[in-house]
Amino acid sequence: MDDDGIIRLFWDRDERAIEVTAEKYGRYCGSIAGNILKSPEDREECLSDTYMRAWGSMPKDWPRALSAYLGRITRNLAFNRYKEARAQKRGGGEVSLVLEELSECVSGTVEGECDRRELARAVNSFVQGLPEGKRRVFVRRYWYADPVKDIARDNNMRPDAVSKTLERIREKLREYLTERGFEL
Amino acid sequence: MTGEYLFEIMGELDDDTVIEAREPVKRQRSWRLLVPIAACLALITVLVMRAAPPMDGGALDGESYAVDCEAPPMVCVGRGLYSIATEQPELAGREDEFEYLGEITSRVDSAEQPRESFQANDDLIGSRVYRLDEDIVVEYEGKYLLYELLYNYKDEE
Repeated sequence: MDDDGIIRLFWDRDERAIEVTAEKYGRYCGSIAGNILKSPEDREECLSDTYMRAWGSMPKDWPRALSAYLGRITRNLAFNRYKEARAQKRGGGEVSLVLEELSECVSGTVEGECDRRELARAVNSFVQGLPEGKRRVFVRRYWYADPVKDIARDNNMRPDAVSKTLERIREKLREYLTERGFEL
Repeated sequence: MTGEYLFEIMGELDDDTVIEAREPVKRQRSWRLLVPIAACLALITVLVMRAAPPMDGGALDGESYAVDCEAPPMVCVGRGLYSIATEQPELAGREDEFEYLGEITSRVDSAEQPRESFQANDDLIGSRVYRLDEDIVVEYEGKYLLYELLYNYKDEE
């Protein structure tokens, strides 16, 4: 079924919407949850929560891109679960490494948390300005939290080249945001 | 600001950017694919010419045909064999991403494959060589030429 058909099911409050969504996007959302959450039970719950969240939000929204819409819900829910798990010292998956890398771009203090919308716009603009190959690598790592070896495999690169590329982009992001007055 | 906060901010990237990242990479038209095909064709030609009697009654040896078959411009750096990329990106202005490796010091015939480090099968002696991610860049007459990794000699070991 195409995406508009699935969205129509959500809008019509047809429960097949969840079944069809799980069939088409379960694996995609599952990989996002899996990169962030270590426990298989947490991942499964996160997926169920994703479908429920979509069920609750879809009569209002008609997503332009259903995959990104669902992926974003999964990412947010998984990351909230990750934070709860970490507070209970149960740790997380690949995302722990991703957060360590991102911490190199910032001071690590909470005082500098500037206007979220402005910062999101600046980060978006920075990412848009990257050459396509680098943008893919960067987004795979810091949006999907994909492991470096998977990114390397899918982009015909060596893992050490991926790591080096990410390091350079992080440094450029830091410069870009600092030049624009963001307190990192 | 914390890494967690930045990760949350990354979550607000545009849909198109997010979707693009997981789409299969379109493979560039590249010498990587053409070299093995060309090598096979050259070998078949040589074998056929050796098996068949020459039409003009003269001496024909396979080697003269093999030598006529030009290889693409290649460079060997370290244990890697690099072949010129068919699609050359604009590299001027990206020098801060380059890592200087050295200069081309020797060359082999244009039909041959360079096997020693900093060797080319083209007139590149003295050209500066840089690493750019997994590929290399050769500076030739003020222009940057991208060479893609074709083969690792260490794979033979």
